[in-house]
Amino acid sequence: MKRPSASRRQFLGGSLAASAGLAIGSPVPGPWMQALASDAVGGERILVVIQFSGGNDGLNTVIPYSNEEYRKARPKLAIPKNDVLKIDDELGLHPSLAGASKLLERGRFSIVQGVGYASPNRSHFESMDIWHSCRRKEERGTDGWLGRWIGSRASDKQTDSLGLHLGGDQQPLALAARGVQVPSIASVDQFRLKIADEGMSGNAMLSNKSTDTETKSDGDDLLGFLQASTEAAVAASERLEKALKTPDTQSEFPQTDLGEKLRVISRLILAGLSTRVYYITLDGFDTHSQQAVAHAGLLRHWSDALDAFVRRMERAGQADRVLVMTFSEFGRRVQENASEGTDHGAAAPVFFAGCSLPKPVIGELPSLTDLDDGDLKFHTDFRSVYATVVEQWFKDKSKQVLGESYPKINLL
Amino acid sequence: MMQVTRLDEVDPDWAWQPWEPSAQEPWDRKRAALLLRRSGFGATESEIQAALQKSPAASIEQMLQTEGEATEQFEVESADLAASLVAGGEAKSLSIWWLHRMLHHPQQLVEKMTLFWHGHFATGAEKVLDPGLMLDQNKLLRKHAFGDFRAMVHGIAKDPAMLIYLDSVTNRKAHPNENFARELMELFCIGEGNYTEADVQQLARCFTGWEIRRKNFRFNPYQHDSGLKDVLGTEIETGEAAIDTVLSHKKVPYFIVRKLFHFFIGDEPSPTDALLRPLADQFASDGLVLEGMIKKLLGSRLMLSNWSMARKVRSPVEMAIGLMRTMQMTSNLDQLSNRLREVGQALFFPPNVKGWDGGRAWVNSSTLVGRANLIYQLIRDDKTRFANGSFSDWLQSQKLSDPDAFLDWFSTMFLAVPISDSQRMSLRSSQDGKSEDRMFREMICLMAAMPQFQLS
Amino acid sequence: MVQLFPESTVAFVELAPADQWINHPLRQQVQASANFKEVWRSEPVMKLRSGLMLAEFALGDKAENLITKLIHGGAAFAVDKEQQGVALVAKTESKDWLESYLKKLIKLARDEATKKKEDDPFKETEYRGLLAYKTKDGIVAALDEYLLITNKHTLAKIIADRYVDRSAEGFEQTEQYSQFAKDRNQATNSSSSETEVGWMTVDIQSLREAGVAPDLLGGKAKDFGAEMILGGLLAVLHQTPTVSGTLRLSDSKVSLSLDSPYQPGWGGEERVFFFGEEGKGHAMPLLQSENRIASLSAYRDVSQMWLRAGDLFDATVNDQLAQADSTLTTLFSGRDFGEEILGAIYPEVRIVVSHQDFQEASSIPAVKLPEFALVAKLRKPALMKQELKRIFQSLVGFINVTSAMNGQPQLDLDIEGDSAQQYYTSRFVPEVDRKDNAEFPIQFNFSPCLAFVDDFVVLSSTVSLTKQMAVQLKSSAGENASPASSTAKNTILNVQAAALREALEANRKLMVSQNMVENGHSKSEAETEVGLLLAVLKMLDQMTVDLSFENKATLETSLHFVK
Repeated sequence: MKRPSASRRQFLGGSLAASAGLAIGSPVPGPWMQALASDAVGGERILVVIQFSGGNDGLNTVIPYSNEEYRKARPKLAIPKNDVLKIDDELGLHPSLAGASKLLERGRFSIVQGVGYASPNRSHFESMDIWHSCRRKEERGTDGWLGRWIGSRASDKQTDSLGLHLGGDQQPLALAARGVQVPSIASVDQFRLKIADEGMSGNAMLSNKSTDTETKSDGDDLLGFLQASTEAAVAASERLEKALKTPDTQSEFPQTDLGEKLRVISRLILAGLSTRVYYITLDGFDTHSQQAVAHAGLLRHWSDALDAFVRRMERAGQADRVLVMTFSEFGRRVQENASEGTDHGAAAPVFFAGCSLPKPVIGELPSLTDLDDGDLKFHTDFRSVYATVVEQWFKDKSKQVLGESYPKINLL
Repeated sequence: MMQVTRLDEVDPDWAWQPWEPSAQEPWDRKRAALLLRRSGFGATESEIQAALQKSPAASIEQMLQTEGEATEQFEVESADLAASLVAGGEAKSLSIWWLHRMLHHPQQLVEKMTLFWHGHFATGAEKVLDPGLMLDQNKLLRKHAFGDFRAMVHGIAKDPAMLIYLDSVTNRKAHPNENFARELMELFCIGEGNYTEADVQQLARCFTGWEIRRKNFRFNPYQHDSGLKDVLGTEIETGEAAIDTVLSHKKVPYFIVRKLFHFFIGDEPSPTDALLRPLADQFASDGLVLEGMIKKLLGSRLMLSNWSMARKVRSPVEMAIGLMRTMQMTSNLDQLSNRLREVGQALFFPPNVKGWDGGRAWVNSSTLVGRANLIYQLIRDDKTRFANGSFSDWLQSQKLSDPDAFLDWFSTMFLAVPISDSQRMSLRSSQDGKSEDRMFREMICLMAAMPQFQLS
Repeated sequence: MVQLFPESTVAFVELAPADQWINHPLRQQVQASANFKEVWRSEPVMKLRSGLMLAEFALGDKAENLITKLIHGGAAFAVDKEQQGVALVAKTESKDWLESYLKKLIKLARDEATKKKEDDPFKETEYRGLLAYKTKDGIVAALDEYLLITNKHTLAKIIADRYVDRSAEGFEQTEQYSQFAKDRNQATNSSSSETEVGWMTVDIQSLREAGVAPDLLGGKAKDFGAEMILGGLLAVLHQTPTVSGTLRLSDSKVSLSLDSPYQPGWGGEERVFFFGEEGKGHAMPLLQSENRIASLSAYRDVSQMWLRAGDLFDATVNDQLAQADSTLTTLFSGRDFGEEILGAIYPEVRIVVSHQDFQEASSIPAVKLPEFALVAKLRKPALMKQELKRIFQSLVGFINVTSAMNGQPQLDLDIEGDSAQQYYTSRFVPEVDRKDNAEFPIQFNFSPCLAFVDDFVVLSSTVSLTKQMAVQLKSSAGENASPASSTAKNTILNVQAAALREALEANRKLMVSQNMVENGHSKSEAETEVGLLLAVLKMLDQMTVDLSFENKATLETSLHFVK
């Protein structure tokens, strides 16, 4: 069994004090108190990862609207100067990003420019695998960066899974770990006890302490572990049940796939689940032709859902412990193609939202003329972004997760 | 007669002797149920009765017989099913095919051991894609399930599905691919800490030129590094010789036997080498043929002692198929396979190359709720039948229409920790005024949320 | 019976007295056939029959006699708006018969409940001298010889009051019912070889105003496929006051026809794609083929629908369409999908689906899928023939590249035929080193092919079906000459049971496996069930669906039995 880390100890101190009444004489071991101290949701920092699959056109997301090179390269796709949601004298957000723009004004949205890696691979699968595993194919293992972090934090006391993938699709490699299995769930129903539909409460099982059976002799026994885990699961399920009955959260999230996923995540967080990493994807960014309408729709889905999510967290007083990171496997070429689309490129921005983010834009937009085979040159390795998340957000060592040390960016 | 209380106090010479009944540990239905759910996926009342008619050793002897009329007939049916399901081109369908085998195969130990090897030589269809290749690998594992481990490793080293999964489709001498070489030692044969990084690099050189072309293994002599390599202190040249060298490492028998201990006897604690020595010695002296060692393990005093009761967390497949076999249930296997995926055990889709970790790793708040929901859906599915009939007819035919009689029976057959008095009270109290059918269904659903439901 | 229902009735269904249909010649004829006897003697049906015999024994009469006595004077079913309930009334043989049978039935149900240790499901009451049984979910009552079953106690009271008081004002006096009765009389006089056995009328306007099924009766479409197939029907449902229906029996078929008033222009501008300009969009005659399973002919201007999506669909569908448009345009080498690809053809489209027998094929796939062909007339033949040929070729190339990346078989592109008629063909090539015993993958059902016959384009999943279509289009050139030589129907569908059965028979092994897996059946159970399905199909000849918009909107569905 691993020793609790400093931050965990600190947190437990606070929460135990708050729920001292429950703790005394309770057979439930300490850390489960976190789950049981229901209404006082709180605790450790959470990362939500949104993956844009297909390669997002960074240049038409964060637009260098006053740059003549941009207009030259994008005769048909360039967003008119008057339409962009201006950030400063040079950059503006795509007109679909009204939600993100409002977040930015409140200091809850941040753009990291020029993120990529050396000798970029332009295959969707290869590049995505590189972003997930932080390794090239020849040296790749079977685990991903978040999986490695989760693996390093796993302990017996963690009854909720540390990571969670929402969606019916294949689990992303980023979450794969040797030694820990991260659940993929298709819907929030997987956290609800269905016997509740029959008017029966999982609580009935809580009274089913099998204490009158012989105790096992070999130290930590499995039955005790299962007893405690079952209690935590039933408690989480009932809190969720309660949360699901609050109807107001339904309307404020857009009725899109991404909106629904973020709504589920907000509920899991507010139900006090101790999961630290949530992972979701938005597909459709491979816009080789007729890009304008499709791209605008995708960005609107994202921005509206993101805005709703952060506002929900703010209202619950939880925004400062949630960080949302959005990335894509690559950007797109600077020059648009002949079918009003763009082809696979390289460096692109990464986006953050949620907690207080003082700098709206981090790093310069790479030059639109000094290109690498027609693509933007990266200046910030994506692993620097990850390292910042692990060290500054999770307050953990990043070397074991990323294999090497990378310079941090000025994010938080 | 000795009672085991702590594993580290057990005398190795005593532990692996054939188990014999005693006053404290009689050969009764509860113990027969333990043997049959560990060596297979659970048993019906009549199978338990049959086992009680003979000694455990005789039962185990029978489990190792792979031939027989019933088996032959089943294999024809299963092959037809595989052909139909693979024709759709979806690897997911294979999972259904295997569940059908686990549910209906008359020789349960074969399927149980194949599941063990699938977790050991874990290969995921999400990367291999071709269901035909996954099926071929499964046949390879089944062929050697309790046969020659050496032959199995040699087969796996050239298995297209495995090499595709480990990115070893090409392996050039200028850039040896270390993936397979590393896993061969770390996960398949020896275990971490018993070799060096230099051994991995040298071993990788032996496998250069081993390629998969058009779904077949091919040796490409032009890409093979034909120099001498020093692997684990032995000078060798070919990949085949390298496998034999790895297999001759003294840790191999311990590595495999330890994993089988956890698979059949208990998730924790981990046994010492000293305790495992008699089994490991037999495995080694049998030339890495598994059968004798497995026979010894399954029929041993330790395996059938009270100590081993409730020592294992059921995997989702063991839980679902176990319940279905015990109660002679059949149902929609397509749905079942999807639900098993949701609680973390999709057959042919292990989470990574290390396979399913088992034990406590099966348990978290999402999988526990998921398990209870899985049983709830299974019990309520209108495709679910009991011995091809209705639930109430089945209860009547088994003389289990009395709730207490049913709970006693269920406790003996399926649970390693009996239902406590307080549990029985709350199970019974919520059932007033409901129809018989509904009452029994709800009792099972409620039990599925009890901690001991997860224990084997 | 109609006089029993109140004015607030919104849906009314009537069934003719049993003696008018229970011994109809159609039944005699079906029962006399060998195919019926096969089904009748099959294991699952035998099981049902023995259950039925037990019930007959308990009730002391044959089921046929029971039905005849129960629906002696017909039956009616109604939905009531105000009580939000439904009621079923049957005019039985006599008051005495009904009361004695009701008592018998109630006793049987009570015995069953006692056996299952459940509470008494019935509570006996009396209302104005009438016998009634209350249950948890509703009420069963005898109004002299009338049997009444309803799910609302209040509705039961209203009907009972009407019966006792002989009330005059009611549903019968509404405009909806009198129009319905008038139409019904006219229709009865016009046809002779068919017997009408059931009628219905639904007050769509009331339902619409009450906010029932808002997706069906109003609002923007939420499903692209549904809009394409049913868009015109939705338009009618958004406007019409009522829908009425008639069920008919003849010597060889059962048919149901649904009618509604209709005015050109109900669909608005956005549904011109469905109705055509001035509502004159008509389907061409059906195409034939060997082993034909289904033939569909319809007027659908899909290009216009695609381009008008903004008016037709809600925002979610439009976002999805925008994404699909981007992907499809990429796939079709930069051609705008809505305008250039879909817009290449006239709206009179025809589709044929046939069973493939693979008799001449050397590579027979394990799963045997039907073949299909799409036939339509080109708008700018000279230009589009060149364009479509190139697009077809680059599409095959694109498929090959994708397949190669996934280790799938490759298509071989070729041109067949002579100078009079060319076919742009593509066929899957077996792998060189394939194992002999392995069955061919699912791709081998397809040999995509494109051909131009006069100004028509034929796109088919197989070369052989393309050739069949070419021969047919040439031989019936006059009939196919222009969209104007049409059928006055908007949509025509014909399904042939024999070919459908052959297509299923060819995959019998797969169906058995699927049945085993999905129902948890043993192999023999699965074989019996699949066998029964195929035997039932043997009794059927064909099914037809016609949709037309003339003075009224009519949807007619018929099921023909083998003579």
